[in-house]
Amino acid sequence: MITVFKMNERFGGFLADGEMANVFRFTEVEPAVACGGHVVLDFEGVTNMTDSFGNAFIGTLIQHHPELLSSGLEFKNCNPLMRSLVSMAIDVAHLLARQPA
Amino acid sequence: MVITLPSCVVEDGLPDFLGALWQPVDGERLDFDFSRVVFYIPAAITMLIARIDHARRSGVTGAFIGLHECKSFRYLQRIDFFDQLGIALPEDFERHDTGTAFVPLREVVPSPVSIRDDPLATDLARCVADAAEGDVFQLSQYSLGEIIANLKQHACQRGFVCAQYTKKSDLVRIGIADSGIGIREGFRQNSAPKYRAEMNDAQVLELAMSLFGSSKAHMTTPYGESPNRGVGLTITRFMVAESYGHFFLASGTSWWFRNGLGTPKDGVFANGASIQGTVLSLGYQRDQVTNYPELRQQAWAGLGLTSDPRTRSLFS
Repeated sequence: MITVFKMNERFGGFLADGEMANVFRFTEVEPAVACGGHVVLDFEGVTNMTDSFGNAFIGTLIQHHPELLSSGLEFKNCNPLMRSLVSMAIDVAHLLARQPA
Repeated sequence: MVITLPSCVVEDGLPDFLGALWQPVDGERLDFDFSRVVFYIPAAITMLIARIDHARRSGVTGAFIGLHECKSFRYLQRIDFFDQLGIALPEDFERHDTGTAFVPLREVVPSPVSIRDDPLATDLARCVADAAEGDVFQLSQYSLGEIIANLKQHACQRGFVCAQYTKKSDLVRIGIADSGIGIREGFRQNSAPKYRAEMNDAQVLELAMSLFGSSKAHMTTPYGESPNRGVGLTITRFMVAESYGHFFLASGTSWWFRNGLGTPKDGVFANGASIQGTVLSLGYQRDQVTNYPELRQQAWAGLGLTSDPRTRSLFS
């Protein structure tokens, strides 16, 4: 099963709010991942993102599900900037995972 | 007691201005003399209104003196300075489109941020960039998004944000201030692991600006980890420096300032003054912000972060 989340339709072109990102990840994206389907995050029309949003949404998603780096997750229609911002959020997840508690 | 407001406040003058604004109040009355006021940068405007707001909330009475001699009286009216305080003053001019010169002073309330976009950050960024896209717009939108969210999540009190573009110097200036709990109290209340009670306020400022330094980074929410990782302010500071801009932060008894890539300065306010809350000032020249994506990449590299090659396969 493929689940597509259109980010622009939910949050607009600027992904800013870390609190909302947390809620969205917890209530919608993680359940879709838990069902074992393929999750597509469509960034068409998204032009900017805060680190708060990126870390709360993508960083935490990867921390909870590192297996997604191999399969089950797809970032679609990212412009070069969004591509780098998504990568950076994943980097933070890795860095935090290596930090002592 | 009367606080006589100075004529002009720019970045270098913020420590003296803030120290005077937050000097210990002698008595139950506090008047503000506006008669000399000519030009204030957004950080000075936002902290002035936050200071007045704090006095009124604390039951300190007072008046505004010399408004009609004040050269920037109409400007203050146009940016809704008095309206935000609930003071209706007659206007002898017609309001018109402000263009890119400024946007009205906006209130920021401590609450969850908006569901879509961050309209406040986007509006202010559009104003100072004179566009809804491009490098200056994106840097401004990002910076505003992060600092507005910080105020909402940490101040526990309403604050104010203001932005300004000065054509002559090509300077975008952003200021945000509140009279909330302040940075030290935020760390203390949240029992932040990196915070130590024996730290002085300058060390607390450094901690707040450091990578993963957020006072809430260790906390959990009903949805799992805290959305506060302590990255946004660090990245903002880095990008502003790389754009040869200025970054000023103050809370409690201390302030911290860096102009471009120069050596940072810090200090303690004179006469035992202590800010209730926090104030942040950002500024950069439009023509120095030419490649926002590269600026973000530089910031990340500067923090020692590198891309995981496994992420490449995730994009389509």
